[in-house]
Amino acid sequence: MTEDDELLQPSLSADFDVRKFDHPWDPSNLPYAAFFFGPLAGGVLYALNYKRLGSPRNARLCLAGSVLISLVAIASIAWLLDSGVITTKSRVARFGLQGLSAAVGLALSKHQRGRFRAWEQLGRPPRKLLLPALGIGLTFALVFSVLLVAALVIFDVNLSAARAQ
Amino acid sequence: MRAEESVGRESDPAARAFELAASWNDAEQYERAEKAATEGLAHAPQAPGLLLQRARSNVGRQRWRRAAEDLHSALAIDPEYAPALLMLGVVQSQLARYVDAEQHILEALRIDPTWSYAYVAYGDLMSRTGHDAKAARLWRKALELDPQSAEAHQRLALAHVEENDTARAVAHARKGLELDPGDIAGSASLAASLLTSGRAFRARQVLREALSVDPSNAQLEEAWLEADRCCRWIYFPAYLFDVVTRRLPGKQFLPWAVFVGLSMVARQQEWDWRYWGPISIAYVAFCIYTWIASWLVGLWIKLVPPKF
Repeated sequence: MTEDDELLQPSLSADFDVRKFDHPWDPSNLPYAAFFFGPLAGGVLYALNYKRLGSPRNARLCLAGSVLISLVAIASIAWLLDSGVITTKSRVARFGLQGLSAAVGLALSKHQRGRFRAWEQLGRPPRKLLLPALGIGLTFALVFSVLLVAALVIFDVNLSAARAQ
Repeated sequence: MRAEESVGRESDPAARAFELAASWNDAEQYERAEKAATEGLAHAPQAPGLLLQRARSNVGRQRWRRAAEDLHSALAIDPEYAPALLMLGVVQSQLARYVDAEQHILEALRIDPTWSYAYVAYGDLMSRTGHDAKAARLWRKALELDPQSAEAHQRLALAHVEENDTARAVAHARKGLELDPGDIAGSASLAASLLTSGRAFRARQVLREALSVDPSNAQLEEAWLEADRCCRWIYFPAYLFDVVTRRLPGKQFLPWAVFVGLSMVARQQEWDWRYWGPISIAYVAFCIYTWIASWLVGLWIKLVPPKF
């Protein structure tokens, strides 16, 4: 296939019906939520936005990916604390996780931007993000914390030793 | 039966109506164009060219559904009529029927693969649906087919604005404006290029000049207001910060990450707080300013409205 032939191949899938989109959030604001509330909350917010952008398959993938990243992060933090590489006072793990969430968030925002732009062309306003982001963000940040504590208990991490180092 | 064939003879009232409708449409006199096309259709109801001209007059007045009806009628008479296929694609794009729009534009390109403007229109559709890379390739192809295409230059200027390649954006915008000085879209793309390159005052001037030509253009007015906002002293530092950070990987997150990293090093290395402290406070204050700058300039504009 020549470059010109490739250029004339259709790019829009049959499910790309912007009229069925359900008032998505502006994805350019979502990396902030991912940064502040972490990978689990960020993933849930992005997955919801994919669903509203008429892309349920991407929503499922995004949710599964965020759960996987969160579990790996929790296990890694528990292991690093147990092995004494980091202490409870270290900020490297927290900032590293926040940085990773924001970086993945930026990539996802770029991916969602196309569909969101098509929605914007309809002249309809995006859904307001602040309150849902706070509600969903705080809830799933709490879930993440509970899972982390559970992991520390399961791995039998000596927190007093980790704190003292 | 092509439009020209169907209305081919000068003595034919349908042919005269076609020419008249086309010239009224070119002059943006859409009501007169519609009247002429309708009169012509009374003589030759099976003339797709006249249906196309009536659709053009409806497109000019943003009556998309009526335009689509005429174009469907034209295509029922001649399914291979490329101008009707392309215009139907554009109309369906306006009606947010993007998948149908793509099919019609591709069909027009299959019939006439060297039609430069069809590539421009397909690029517009791809840009509208978020396929920026393909849109830029289509506009480049349009320019390759017709190096004098002002539309392709304008679109490529905007594509380079998105890519933060301001030098190329300005070059394409200037070329587009040079090829078609009367086209307001050329001024708009030049202003967008200048705004992205940090030249807000020049962008405002370009838009002011364009608005003096077409004072009723709402999109131009909106662009001028945006440029004017960036020129306000209360917003100007935030605008310049945005111009710089949008070129960085990670955008505004990069300086933030660097600051957080430096804070951690400062704590570990016990840097002298007398020096590091004011720098930290100044950076945090600047961050707060950038977060509220839009609100501040909105308030300022209410107090001191823009003067055209």
